[in-house]
Amino acid sequence: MLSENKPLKTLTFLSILLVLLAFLMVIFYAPVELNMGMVQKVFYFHVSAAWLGMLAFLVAAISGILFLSKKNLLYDHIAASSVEIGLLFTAIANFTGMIWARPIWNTWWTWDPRLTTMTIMAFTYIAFILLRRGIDEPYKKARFGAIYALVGFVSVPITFFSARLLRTIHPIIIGGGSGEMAMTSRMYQTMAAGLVAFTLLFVVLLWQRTRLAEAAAVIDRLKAEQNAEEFGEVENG
Amino acid sequence: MKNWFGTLKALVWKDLLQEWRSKDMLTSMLAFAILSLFIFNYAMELDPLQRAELAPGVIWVVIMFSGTLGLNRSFLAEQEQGSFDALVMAVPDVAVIWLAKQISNFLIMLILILITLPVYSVLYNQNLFVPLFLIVLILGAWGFSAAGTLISGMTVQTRMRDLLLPVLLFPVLMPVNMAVVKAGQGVISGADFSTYQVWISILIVYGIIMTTISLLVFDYVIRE
Amino acid sequence: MADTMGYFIAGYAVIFGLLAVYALYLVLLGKKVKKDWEELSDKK
Repeated sequence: MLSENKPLKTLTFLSILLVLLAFLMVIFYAPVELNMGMVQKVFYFHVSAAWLGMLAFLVAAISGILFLSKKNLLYDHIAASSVEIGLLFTAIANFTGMIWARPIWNTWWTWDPRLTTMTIMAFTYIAFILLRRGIDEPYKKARFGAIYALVGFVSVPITFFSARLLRTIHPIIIGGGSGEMAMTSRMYQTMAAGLVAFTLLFVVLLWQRTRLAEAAAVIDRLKAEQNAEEFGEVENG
Repeated sequence: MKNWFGTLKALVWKDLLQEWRSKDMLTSMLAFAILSLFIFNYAMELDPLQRAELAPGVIWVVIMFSGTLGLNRSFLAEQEQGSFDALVMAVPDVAVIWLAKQISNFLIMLILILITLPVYSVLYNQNLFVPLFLIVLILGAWGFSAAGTLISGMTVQTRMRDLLLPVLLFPVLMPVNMAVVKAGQGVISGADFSTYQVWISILIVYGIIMTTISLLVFDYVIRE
Repeated sequence: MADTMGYFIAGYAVIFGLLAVYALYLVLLGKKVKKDWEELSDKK
């Protein structure tokens, strides 16, 4: 049933390759930052992960809207898969952000607006997953997921704006500064490599996960039909 | 137009009357709120100045948690009696149903605020019954009831119900939390209005956005 | 220059670790789907 999909296979291998390549670039090509040392290199994947975490949310929200208008469950599968993968990338971004903060500012957590907003976004993701889990009927699951994805997605920019505003009014002494640094061209190139690799990875993961969701849905439907048949036989027999 | 407004009034009145007859929800919410204020006293054994700064935050947290209790109950009647279908048949315009629910939730939050504020003022000897602070809380309650009515409309139809509502609602409410506390602190400390004006704008924007989304989307919550 | 090699390793351990965990999850999901499909086909 999950037939061999040549393009997907190729893309999967390609994405793994690109990620490894980018990693090699990080180790050997990118220069070591003067003040921060090696940990700065975490930055190259941290930024891409954060960006993709947010893109995933956008994909989920749009997919949700498409479901509400077209009623095709494929959009729900895309949305749910996007949320899962978005949670993965957001977790990567959050934890690498904390690992980066620790040696630089001597604290695991800074109430940096971006870090804060990403964490709240992660909780929105988790809420989305829990909401869908609490519903059995597929169309209702999809409907409610879409609504919550929309509401959640709209709240994120407002949260970020508020968090940033809070920061400018009350600059916190611990963990001050956003870690801006002067970047050389090599650094930009490595960043770009990381971004390309991770974006391709996101697409691949989304495609794979959606396929599995579609397959699982078909199986659930067939199972239900079979149960209905058997039950029907018992009734008649 | 007149019919629309009449229906709205009738629905709001129905919800409030239902609540007034049993007084369950409101009593529990109030008890919870006042008890929480007591608990905060032991959690915050601070000098009066520090406690004064924390006041807006404490008040809002208490109101938010009590409000969540209320939200959980507000749709329960429809869910248990299966009256969603009956309601939709009687009132085909789903937007009116949602608006009525939101208004009744909002009014209940209002009562909560109007009682919690004086109680806090008495317990902690700090007059918070200030008009502008009241307005800040009211704007917060608007955003809370807008997002809350939409989300609780969904969670009440899931398996986990009560447990799920805070998990879904609180992340989405973050802007309101920040804005209420910041604006509240500004008001209480007597700072110039321009310093916290932006927070009040955020509250208004949030309320408008959430109300608009809910009106557009609530159809999908109630109808199969 | 600060010696932050340890944090660098921790950071990339997190990145690849989380990615590996998710990849494993996808593989296991795929196996489950295949198994269910075969069961259904046999029953028919």
